Amino acid sequence: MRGDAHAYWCQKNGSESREYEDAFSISDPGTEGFWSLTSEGRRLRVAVADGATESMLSGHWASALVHTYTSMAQPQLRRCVRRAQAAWPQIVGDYKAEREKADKPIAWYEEPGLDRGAHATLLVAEFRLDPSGFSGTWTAEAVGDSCLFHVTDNGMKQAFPLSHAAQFDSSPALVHTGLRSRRLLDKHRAYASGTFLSGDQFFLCTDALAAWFLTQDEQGTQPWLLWRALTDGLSQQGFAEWIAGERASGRLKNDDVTLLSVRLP
Amino acid sequence: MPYTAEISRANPACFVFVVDQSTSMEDQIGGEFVQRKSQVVSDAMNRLLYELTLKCAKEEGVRDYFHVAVIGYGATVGSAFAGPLAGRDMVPLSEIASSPARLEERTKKTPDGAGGLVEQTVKFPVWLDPVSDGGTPMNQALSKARHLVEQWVEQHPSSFPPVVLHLTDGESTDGDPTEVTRGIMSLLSTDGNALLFNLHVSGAGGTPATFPDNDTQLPDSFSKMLFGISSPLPEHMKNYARAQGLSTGEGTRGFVYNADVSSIVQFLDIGTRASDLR
Repeated sequence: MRGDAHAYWCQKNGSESREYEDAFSISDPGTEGFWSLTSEGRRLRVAVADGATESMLSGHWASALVHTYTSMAQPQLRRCVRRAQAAWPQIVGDYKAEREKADKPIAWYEEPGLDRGAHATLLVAEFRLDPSGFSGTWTAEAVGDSCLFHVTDNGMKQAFPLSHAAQFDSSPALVHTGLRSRRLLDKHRAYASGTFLSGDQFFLCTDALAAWFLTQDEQGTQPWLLWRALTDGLSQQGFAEWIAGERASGRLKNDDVTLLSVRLP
Repeated sequence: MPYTAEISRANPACFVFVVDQSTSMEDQIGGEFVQRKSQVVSDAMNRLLYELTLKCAKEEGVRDYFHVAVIGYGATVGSAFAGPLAGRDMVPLSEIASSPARLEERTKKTPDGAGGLVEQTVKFPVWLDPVSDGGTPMNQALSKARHLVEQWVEQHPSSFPPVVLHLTDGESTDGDPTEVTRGIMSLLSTDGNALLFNLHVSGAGGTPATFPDNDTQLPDSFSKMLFGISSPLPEHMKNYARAQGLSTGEGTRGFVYNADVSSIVQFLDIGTRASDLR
């Protein structure tokens, strides 16, 4: 048996694809997104992050966070943040060197933003399959408003870390490139864990889609049914078309969107 | 719900600044440092444009989430930009960022990470110089602002409503501006009425005030008049004001007396804010 883990993304309307500032990572994407149960000791790790519009290089920071998490031997959000922060000066240095090389020196209006550092939300999760192969456990950690939804054939089992559409605003908690305070990070870090059964599905997404999902749920439209069907063999093109339709209807806020689906075997 | 329209490059918002440059702005105001009113106003304007630019700066350049006009009034009424933008009315923010009159070097003290402070040189752009010359044709200037706002909402009917910020000592020489300001505030996009905010720079003394909810503590008729022609702060802006530690009440208006006005830049949402954990 095998499960699958796929990520879909789409930049904000009016932006170019290079301006997409969310990020995602899957520890072992496997062949065409199908991960094998045994390839990584029956574990799968995934991460989603959303770089803040108002900071410089926030897409780079979001990407650094998610890839750091999925490449760690013993992943943990706090450790991941510390490691990504340690690598950040090099990322900024490389960016500045690239600009110099391209003969596009840093402009006056970029300097304060680069000094201020970058910000992003971060949501990480790990799935461990029991030896039986029919059930398992999961853990998740989050800072900010990127969300995880655990869904089964019977409905939504858990929403994490937010569970109501009204909880979204433009000032979520964010992980900063320079944050040194473990106490502050712990204060804003949410944790959840649970069990899953064969056939369950998890969706990890950034705020616009998470707010869409919870709004639909509150209106009783059972959005998990749609997403379960939608992500069955979905292509990037199909996802982009669905997003365009929801944006056009006014139901989905115009923002970068990322949907990471984990279907358990 | 009003004041919720997306602000993006595809659906930009506009700021119209109206700056008093009349002879009375030559007068000094007290407080911690004695300064000419004209200096206070041009500093406030340069600071506002600086903050707005930084808010919209990304790796690939400054994004045109906003278009900005700066109208000066005194001996003449017209664009107050100095340097390459002189004479221009509505200018996309990316052009404002690339075309200051000059870049000055200023020193600021920043924490050194070991409990002390260290001096750092930063570049500070200047778009407006202090000017104090001529009468105070406030009505004429606000009429021009109304015209620009009218044009904007015609061309961008679903944009976030235009924001007009008027910086003055309040001493109009061409009559009471109440009617023309009512005209500005009656202009609509599908997202709500245009907003008019006032910064009163005054030598009358009294306590500086930021977004007061009544005029009882204001020192003179000019401040009371300007308070009266300021828009009530929309609810989400009150929330941002409170988040910045300012107190707001039921009747809070977009009026500032002898205090920093640059916080209004933070009242506008362009996406996820870059706020540090607290």
